[in-house]
Amino acid sequence: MNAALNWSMSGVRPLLILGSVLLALWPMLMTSAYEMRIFTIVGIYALLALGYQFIFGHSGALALTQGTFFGVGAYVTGVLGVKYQLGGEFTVLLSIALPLALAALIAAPVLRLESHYFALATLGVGQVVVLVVVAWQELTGGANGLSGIPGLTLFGFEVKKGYGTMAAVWACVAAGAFLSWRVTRGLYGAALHISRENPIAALSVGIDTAKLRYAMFLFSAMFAGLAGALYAHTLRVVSPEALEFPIMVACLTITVVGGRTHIAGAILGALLIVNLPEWFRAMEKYYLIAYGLALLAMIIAAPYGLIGLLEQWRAKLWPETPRTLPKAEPLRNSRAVERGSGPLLEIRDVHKRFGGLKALNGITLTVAQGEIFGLIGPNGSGKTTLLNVITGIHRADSGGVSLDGVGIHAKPSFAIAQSGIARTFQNINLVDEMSVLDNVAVARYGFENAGLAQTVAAGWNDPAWQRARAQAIHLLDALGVAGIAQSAAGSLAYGLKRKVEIARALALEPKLLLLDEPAAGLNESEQLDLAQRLRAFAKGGLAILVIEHNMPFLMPLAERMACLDHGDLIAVGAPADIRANPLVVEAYLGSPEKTSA
Amino acid sequence: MSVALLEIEDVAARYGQIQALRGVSLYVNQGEAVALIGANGAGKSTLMKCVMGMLACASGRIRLAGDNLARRPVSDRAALGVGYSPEGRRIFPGLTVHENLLVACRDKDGGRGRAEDIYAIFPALREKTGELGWSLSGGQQQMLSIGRALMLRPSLLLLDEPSLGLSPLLTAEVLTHIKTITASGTAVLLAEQNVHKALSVSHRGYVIKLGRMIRTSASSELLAAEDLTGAFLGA
Amino acid sequence: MLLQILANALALGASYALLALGFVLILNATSAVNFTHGDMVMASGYVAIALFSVLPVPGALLLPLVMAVMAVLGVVFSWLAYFPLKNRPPVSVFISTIALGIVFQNSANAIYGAEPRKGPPLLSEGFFEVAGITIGKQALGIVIVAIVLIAAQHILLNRTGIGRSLRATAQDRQMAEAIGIRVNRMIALTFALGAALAGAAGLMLSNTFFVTPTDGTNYIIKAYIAVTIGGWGSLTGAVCGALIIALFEVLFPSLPLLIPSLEFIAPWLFTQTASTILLYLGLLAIMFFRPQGLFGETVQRRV
Repeated sequence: MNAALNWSMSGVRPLLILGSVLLALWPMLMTSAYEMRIFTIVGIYALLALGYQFIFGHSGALALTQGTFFGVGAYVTGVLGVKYQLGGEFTVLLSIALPLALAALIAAPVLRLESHYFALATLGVGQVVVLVVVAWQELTGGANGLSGIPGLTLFGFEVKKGYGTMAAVWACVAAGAFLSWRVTRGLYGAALHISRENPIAALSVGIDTAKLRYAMFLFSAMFAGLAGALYAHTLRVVSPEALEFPIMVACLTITVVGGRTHIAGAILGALLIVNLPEWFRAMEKYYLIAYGLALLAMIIAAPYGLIGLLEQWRAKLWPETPRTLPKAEPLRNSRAVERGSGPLLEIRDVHKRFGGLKALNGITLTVAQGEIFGLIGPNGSGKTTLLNVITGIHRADSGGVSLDGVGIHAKPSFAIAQSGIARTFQNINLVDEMSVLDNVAVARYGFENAGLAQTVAAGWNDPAWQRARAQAIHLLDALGVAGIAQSAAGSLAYGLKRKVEIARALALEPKLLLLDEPAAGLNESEQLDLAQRLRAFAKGGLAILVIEHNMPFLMPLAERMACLDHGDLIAVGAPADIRANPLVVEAYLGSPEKTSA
Repeated sequence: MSVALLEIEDVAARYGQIQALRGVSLYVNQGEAVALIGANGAGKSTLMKCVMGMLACASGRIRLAGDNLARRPVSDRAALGVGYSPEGRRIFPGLTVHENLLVACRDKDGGRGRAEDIYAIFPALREKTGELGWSLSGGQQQMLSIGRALMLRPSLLLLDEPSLGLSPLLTAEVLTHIKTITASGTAVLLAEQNVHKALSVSHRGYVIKLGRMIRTSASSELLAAEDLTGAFLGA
Repeated sequence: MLLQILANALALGASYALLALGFVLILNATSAVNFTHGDMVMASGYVAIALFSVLPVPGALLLPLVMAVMAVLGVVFSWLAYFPLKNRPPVSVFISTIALGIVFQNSANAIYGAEPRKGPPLLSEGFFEVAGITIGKQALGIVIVAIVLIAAQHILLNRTGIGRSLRATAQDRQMAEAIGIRVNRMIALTFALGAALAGAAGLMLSNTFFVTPTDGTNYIIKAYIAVTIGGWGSLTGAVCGALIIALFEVLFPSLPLLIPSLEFIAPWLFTQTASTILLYLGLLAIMFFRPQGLFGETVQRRV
């Protein structure tokens, strides 16, 4: 009971609950068929926008195909209904299936493109579909479209025009909202969040961002197809207008105005955008101009939409009391520790070139299990590049990298993370708006079998997510920062962020931990504390590779060291030997004898 | 007592989340070369960016020849006589060497005359005059970056970590030019990790650690100090 | 016959080249994809029509006026869609340009209606006969104007002080500021230039292809295809890409005229619609197999 009360008082939920009640009551006050029709169209657009939120809001990819999928769904229903008199149970299913197939087809070339490439590619696809549909006159009625689409029937039962259709549409909206809530919450939702805010970080904790984006793209297509089918049944006609850009514009506007990751935003946005031409009847020709200006105003002033704005105000005016933390749970050692005989990490003759610059020139190194290995060299000597090659962010031009005897240099970076290599970054890569706890918990994604099916089917509280958070507490404890678990990661001091990133890396139960300048921004006592903890981890069997400039920190910590200079490996050995090596002294530390006043 | 060319008083600034500068003060006289030394992340670049107006100072004053620099747009610095050679050099990759120089100059002849002066200081650049910026080596880019900053005849040159990515030989070569630059009347504020080289080409030095100025003295004194060497180079 | 087709393609390509060039200029200066660029081409068609109704002179004389109007529009555009958002992620600018594009399209629709309108001819309508080829005076005029404008743009960017400043701003805005360049003015100027080039393209396309409010989407895709083919960010690449598109659009549907047997194999394939579809599919193919464009270099980013 207490949990339910807490839930309903958090964020802007009190307002939303009130709003939902009002929304449910409103149709009972409607008297004219016209009002009901408008409300039905609101529902259809809300469903369309809900679908769009999957790809645009939760995945952060600006797709311009939502209108196309909608139109395809509408045409499937239209064609099957008019020409083949199939019942709703078939046409609705096929109206969902065909856009889904289209999405699956174009996903491969299009999804891996970066934002504007992706958007314009999807635009191109939309244009092709319109051209094909208009040209294929015998099937689609060409530029005139099809009319006389029957009402929605399900297994022979005819849904009444007006009130019945409205109820059916809003039932779909409710179901869609429920599904959307399920998919985007918990561990899967956290994985979506990090994938869109910081894809490099997501890959580094073993999340296959491409797969997530693909799933979200397919979902958006399915919702759009259903919305299109309902549209065709409501209007009883379908024409190329259903495929044209104004619908995509309306969808984009609804999502941006309402709030791109908020379910309530889709509904609120739809209410506003569909009713706008009704309220401004006099400006009939101009309502699309108003859309454009509204879109511009929102994207400048309130990028998270109206619901996002409300949430911000709530947080300022009436801050929430932090929720109780889960109890710490140690990690179940899911990774079988096989003590192999050979070295843990083997780098063999790795070369990497960027254009004209040779960043790595035949690097050969090994790191043993449980060893703390230091990597030094002047700025630009190739240290971070080497780290990036190990973790799969860059592909080596030649040579190989293997972990426990298994070659990893051809694997994608999320797979390398999954096989047991975790890292931190020179520029901290946490998700600023997420809490410290959630930032760490999301790294347990690979261990909890979190996936689409699991997150939809799981109970109210997503046990996988609860487990992940409990384990995250344990990890934050190990770094001594459990106290800040509820703070937003972006608000922390640099040194604390650094520790949170290390905790997140440890959540991967790695065999090898790569730290890129971990002591930067830490004062001396923090450095000593960190060094102590790292030694403890190493004793537990974790191999650690540390890039550092800070010699007083690194020298006592590292058991072996290597020095890079301009892409060459110029020395490997014990710290004392490295310090005394004249090549190292010259390249990195600077030599008093060489300068003359 | 004459007013120093550059006066930094009690400046505090944040770099993202870090309190990068906690009330630092320094001054540079006309025609003087001053070294700002400290480990990576101590605050040297942050201070340079504050002088250039690229970072906002939470408190404190920065004055150039008596003029308060606060709230003046970044683009004013060039006209006020501050030249900047940033960390990482940042020459314009798609412009030729010659264009990199010309674009920084407001002279009536388009800068061609002044460019000749720069080629006199850095003859190696003359050989590469038609090459695009991205194709130059690190050392050549460093020289170009300094040359570009000198095009406007600045009274103060801010030189941020010229040794980054350069071999010791090249670094020494670049730094010897500082003597020539100060000889022609331009003051230099040099931020460097490489303690010995920085102090050997400057008159005075400031030591900065974790955002605080912990020591200042004539360069010769700093060079001789034992504890200093240990702190920055590893015992 | 082939030469005739090539001549037509060249004229079309010249217009597309100006369109693509304007697009890349803005892209390079701001790293922002200007979705409205196509709508600007459309808008300039209407500007040309409006000016012509007041001042019935050949398009060639209206050209400077149209370009000037569009330049001002470009600056206003940058104030509304770009400057308020320049510190946000690039997708925000993309959306703001979509928003303004909607405003443009529907303003044009409200003022002029949806029916296609014919813009003023560049010179007079008429033909030359040279070596058995009929060259429209219009087409010849377009090619000459395009060459002049492209050359002028090249000289401006590569041989003048302002051009150097524009390029420096596009390559490293912060550093440009540090050496005293007023970057906001440079960016506004870039928008003005890009819009002026779009204006020239719009005027030249308005007579042969008419103007409708919804043309913008089509043009932005063409610009995008040209730039993708030529290598994202390259000015020469954009021009080459534009010529390739024009060649394809003109040549492909005309293939049955050159090779009569094709008519019987697949008559539906050699229509304008089909060739447009093939063009878009070709775009997807290029993006899949060679995303850096036919002329571009693979760009690696350091983490």
